[in-house]
Amino acid sequence: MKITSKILYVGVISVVILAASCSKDPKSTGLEYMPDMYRSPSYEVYSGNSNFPDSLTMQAPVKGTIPRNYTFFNYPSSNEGYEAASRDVKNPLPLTEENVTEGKRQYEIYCVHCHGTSGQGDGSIVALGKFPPPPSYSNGNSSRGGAMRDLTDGKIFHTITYGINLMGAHASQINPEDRWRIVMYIHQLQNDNKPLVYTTSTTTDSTKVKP
Amino acid sequence: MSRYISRYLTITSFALFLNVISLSQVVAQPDGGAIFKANCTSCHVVGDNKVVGPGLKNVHQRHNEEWLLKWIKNSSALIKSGDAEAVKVYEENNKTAMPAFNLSTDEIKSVIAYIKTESEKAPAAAASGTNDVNASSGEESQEDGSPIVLLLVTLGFIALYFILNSAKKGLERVVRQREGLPEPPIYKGKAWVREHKKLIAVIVIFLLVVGSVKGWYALKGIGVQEGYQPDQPIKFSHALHVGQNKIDCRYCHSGAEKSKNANIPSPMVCMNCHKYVQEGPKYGTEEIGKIYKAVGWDKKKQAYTGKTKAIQWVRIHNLPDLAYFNHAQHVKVGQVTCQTCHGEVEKMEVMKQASPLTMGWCINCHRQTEVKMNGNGYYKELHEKLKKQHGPDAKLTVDKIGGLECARCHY
Repeated sequence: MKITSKILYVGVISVVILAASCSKDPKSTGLEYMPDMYRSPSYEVYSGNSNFPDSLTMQAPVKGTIPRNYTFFNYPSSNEGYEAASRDVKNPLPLTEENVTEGKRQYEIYCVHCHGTSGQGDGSIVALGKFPPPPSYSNGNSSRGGAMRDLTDGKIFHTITYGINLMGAHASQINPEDRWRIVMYIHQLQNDNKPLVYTTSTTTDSTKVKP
Repeated sequence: MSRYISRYLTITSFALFLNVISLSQVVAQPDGGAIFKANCTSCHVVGDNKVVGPGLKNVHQRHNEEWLLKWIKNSSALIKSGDAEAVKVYEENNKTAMPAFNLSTDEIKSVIAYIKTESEKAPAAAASGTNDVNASSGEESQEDGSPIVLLLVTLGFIALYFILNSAKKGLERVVRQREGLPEPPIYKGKAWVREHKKLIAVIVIFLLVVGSVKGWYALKGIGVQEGYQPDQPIKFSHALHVGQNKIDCRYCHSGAEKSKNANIPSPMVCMNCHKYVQEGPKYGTEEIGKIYKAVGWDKKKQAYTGKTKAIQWVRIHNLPDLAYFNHAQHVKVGQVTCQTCHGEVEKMEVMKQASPLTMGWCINCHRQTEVKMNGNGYYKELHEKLKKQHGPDAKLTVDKIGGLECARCHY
């Protein structure tokens, strides 16, 4: 009987080994049965596409096409465009608490890691010493002259859209309406984060920008 | 008379005292480092690499101080005056104008002095700067449970068992021969099976049970890619960007709130930071160089060449075409955090699939998650209606508003 029990041990061990050897390799997708619907032949947004010279399915829209409700911002990415935007452009959204709150939320997604929660230019990557600090909204100076405190609607919008110095263009990430909401919140930060005086507007739909 | 004199003296001494204070403030050297950080770092570094403007290492050797003073105070005026040196610098830097700085001569001199001292210690500082971040992110996945090693060890044990067994048998035979005992019967083939029925039954039952349990889970795992962690063309670390740098997920995946897709960021989004950050803590310039290649960025000229090449990321989260999933619906309207489905991405050095993404998993969440309707513009009308239907404080989960209907996801 001794031998049989030993054979049993060997059996158990080998089963355990077999089970262990079935553990999944993280670099493989594992067993698949009819994966046709998972990797379908139809083109998806990010799948490659040999029909186009840049091999992408997601092509840029044809030049000159614009989305619906598009607001034009016809100011070039230059100092002249910057000054012209400052002169001509006003925030098209009403200054409501809703818009400023949303602006703050957007600011905390797209701006905060450099500009900091209170706009002092002390965001997380600046604090880590990985990126130079941008000027403070309330007491810094703009590299294009004047105090950051005095930046106008048009100037801030122009900067978010095209970027300046080390700040890149954020037009591809933030849509114009949200950019205008961020502009509102930046006005609050320019004024030492004191709440703004809201317009008691009765506009029914504040989410749409009228062209 | 003496009273007037004494008063006069006190006034003059007081004035002198004030004078000394103000003089001492003027005489005190302005802090070049602070001025540099406040005004210059958004375009320049003290190094060889160009950021927006040229690297300022040893700039005091390239230009004389008098020229530098004029340049910093008003560079465009200097260029307009036709100064050959100024025009050359302007042309070399793609005609990017440097703004005029309203700094005093002493302040500019202190900045130049600061650049001078920094230039001398620049290489050492750069080297130590890259090393200290390295230590914190040096976690490697430990290699354990490698089946080949285990198999070899088992084979070794089995071999040992047979060797020892044959030695024991040999010894027993010697003992039996010496004592004159009869040889025990030897079973072979069918005879052995007949003699060991119980043992064989135990082994068969055991294998059957283990096999069916294992088999059941193997079948359940078909097409489920939880834990899938492929190598990507760029060794991008979410642990570094989200965990350490605290950049919001939606900064790069900006579509998460606005569209069906959460967006794989275009390498142009990387360039928002990596125009400046040219070296990573772990892989140096190698991985960031791949971004430059993708967008066609010439690091030396600081200009785009126009030659772009798409990065072929390996898809991890993949739903079959028969199921519809929309990010905006979940992130913006449902206010579900990214981590609910994608796991602790902020701790992932290499991105992996944290959830099974099976239908059961979807349904389970729809049954448990309460719809955040308060102050949610999207649900304004529905909320009023449901409040009347279920009472004002009723807990409304996703399945109550049709989250289990087939056609919600399959159409």
